Amino acid sequence: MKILSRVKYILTLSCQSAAELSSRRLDEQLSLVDRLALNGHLLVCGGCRRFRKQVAFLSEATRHVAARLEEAADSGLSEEARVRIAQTMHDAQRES
Amino acid sequence: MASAENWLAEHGDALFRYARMRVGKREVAEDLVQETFLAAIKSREPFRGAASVRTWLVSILRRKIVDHYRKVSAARARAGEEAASLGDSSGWFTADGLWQQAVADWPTPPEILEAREFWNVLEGCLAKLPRTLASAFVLRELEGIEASALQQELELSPGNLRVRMFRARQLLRKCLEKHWFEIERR
Repeated sequence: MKILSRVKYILTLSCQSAAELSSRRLDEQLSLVDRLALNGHLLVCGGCRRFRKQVAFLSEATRHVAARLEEAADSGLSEEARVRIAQTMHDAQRES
Repeated sequence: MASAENWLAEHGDALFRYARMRVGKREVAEDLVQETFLAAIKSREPFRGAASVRTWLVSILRRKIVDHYRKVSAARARAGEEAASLGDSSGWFTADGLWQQAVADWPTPPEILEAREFWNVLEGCLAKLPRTLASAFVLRELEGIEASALQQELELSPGNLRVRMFRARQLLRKCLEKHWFEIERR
């Protein structure tokens, strides 16, 4: 019975479950049963294939853009913040 | 600690940009930069030249970002806002678990990753995420913290972390579709 319910799970995975697994796959190792179910579903479902591609793109794009924005020297602390931080640092150094 | 005077001028903007992408708000990012410098001044283990000063300061800032999100996460949990702040996902799928709206195709040529306009849109979408979702997504994707370690940092069950990651990705997808890919929905 346990095997039968696994087979049923593998064969009847919903789009919602497939989408959740596509997200999970980016964060952790999936079990064999989950992998079989997801891969089987992706084979027959274009929407979920697009979703999987898009969440993978989101991860890549977020990391890439963060790195680029860190390098871009066109934004920084406001003058106000700079003055405030300088003053706070000055006070802290006098105390220590 | 004579070099501390130069830290702000040399590293202030870079630390700010690092924090800004991760916490979304200018004021929060500026506060974290300040806390980073203060922690560096008070550090019992001052920079010893093993790595660059920048690397040392960024490592302090990263810890401050994790602490910031841990506080956000704990405060929301205490206030019982967990369910509400996770956002409503009922509109995404039908009762049978089918997509409520067909998943549109995205044209993603590699050039878009180099488009400044795209950076701004993505940064804006990240900043708009509910903070409890951003906490999981940012620490996972940008700080590269493993899921198991992240559960401990944010004191979440495995299921709860998965839900946060999934909803964060769903909301980011929707936001990019609207503001970048311009896929209009009914």
